[in-house]
Amino acid sequence: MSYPRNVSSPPRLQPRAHPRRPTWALVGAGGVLAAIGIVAALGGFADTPITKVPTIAIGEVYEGQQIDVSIEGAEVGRQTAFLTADDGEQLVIVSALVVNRADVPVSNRAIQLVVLMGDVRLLEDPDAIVTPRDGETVGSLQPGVPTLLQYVWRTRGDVASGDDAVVGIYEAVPDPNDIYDPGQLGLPNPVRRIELVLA
Amino acid sequence: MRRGVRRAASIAAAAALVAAAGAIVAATPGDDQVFEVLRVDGAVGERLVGRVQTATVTGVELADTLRFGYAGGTVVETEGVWLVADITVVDRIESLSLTYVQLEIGDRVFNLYRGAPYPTATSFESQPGIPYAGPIAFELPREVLDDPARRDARLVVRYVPDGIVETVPVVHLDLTDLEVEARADLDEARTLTFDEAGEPAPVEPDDAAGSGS
Repeated sequence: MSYPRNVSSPPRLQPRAHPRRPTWALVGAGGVLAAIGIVAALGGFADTPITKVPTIAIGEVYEGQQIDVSIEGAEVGRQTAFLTADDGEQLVIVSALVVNRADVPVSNRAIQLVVLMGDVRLLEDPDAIVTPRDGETVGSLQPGVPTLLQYVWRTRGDVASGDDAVVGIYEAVPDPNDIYDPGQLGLPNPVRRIELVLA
Repeated sequence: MRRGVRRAASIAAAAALVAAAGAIVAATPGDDQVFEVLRVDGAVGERLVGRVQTATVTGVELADTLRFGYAGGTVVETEGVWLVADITVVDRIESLSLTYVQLEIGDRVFNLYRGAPYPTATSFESQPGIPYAGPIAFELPREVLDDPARRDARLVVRYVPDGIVETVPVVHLDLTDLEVEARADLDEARTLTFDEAGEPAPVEPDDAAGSGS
């Protein structure tokens, strides 16, 4: 192709002189740095203080938000007045004295127990929570009446009288942020521990 | 002049609308009222008729211990005090339960005692239209004996927990003149019949024989 004599050839296209756009990698890195900065500013990298749950003695009362509770003892056996272990099982029975200080019945889930015995860990949800006086399965605690409860777990673990054990008390309190049911209990938190020897 | 009148009328109309909206908001029941049961109030001896259940409390007593007369005479003690109420119930539409019956003393609410062996009134397998009677019990703290609110304790014969609109009998109890007995019997519930006046009445032996049961 030729051009007329008096017409100059078109100028060569030159790259425009403007700064290079940042690549997506740089944008991502900046975002990560910003996120780290925000986490740091909010104290996310501060050392979390680890406090040991206070230990109380057998019979000592823990005063909860709604429920007072004291652990009266723990034992291993084959049966209670109202429960019998199956073959190969044993029953771990923790006796607790509870008082509901609220004005209304409160679920037994407000106070939960765990038992730690070496490798045997009996966590929440015992097989039965009963009153030893009549074997009543207790779903709610009546206001103001001291009540002796037996928390009973069935276990096939290696436990025996004389073993050391730790009973942990967990407390669940109503969640004020639950807009659908303000009386609904929130998640339980560990509040006290009791070191004892199984009878 | 006309413009001023029009403006004043607009302001008055707006104020009236705002006032009307406020009145509507004030008159609108909250959740607690919307979901509260409708109470049919009465006294001991009165037959209280709810939509699905009628209830009559015929007697109340306080006691230190509770005895299951039908279950080997088991005696149950308490750190508090037992309130035992004799109640007659007719389930009008379907078989219901007394599981959710509550006692209110002032702001305090107590659930029914459920530790008695079957068949108490609490666990009775009722039939619609057939009256049954028996005692029910509540375990109360000792201090209610000194609570001024005991003058108007309320036995709420609800068959469901909170959160449903339903008519329920509410029996008002005056506990001030009651002595605390050493023992109260918690007997098993029993089926009744109706007398000529249409009131629940004990089943006569001949009736029981004739019923084949």
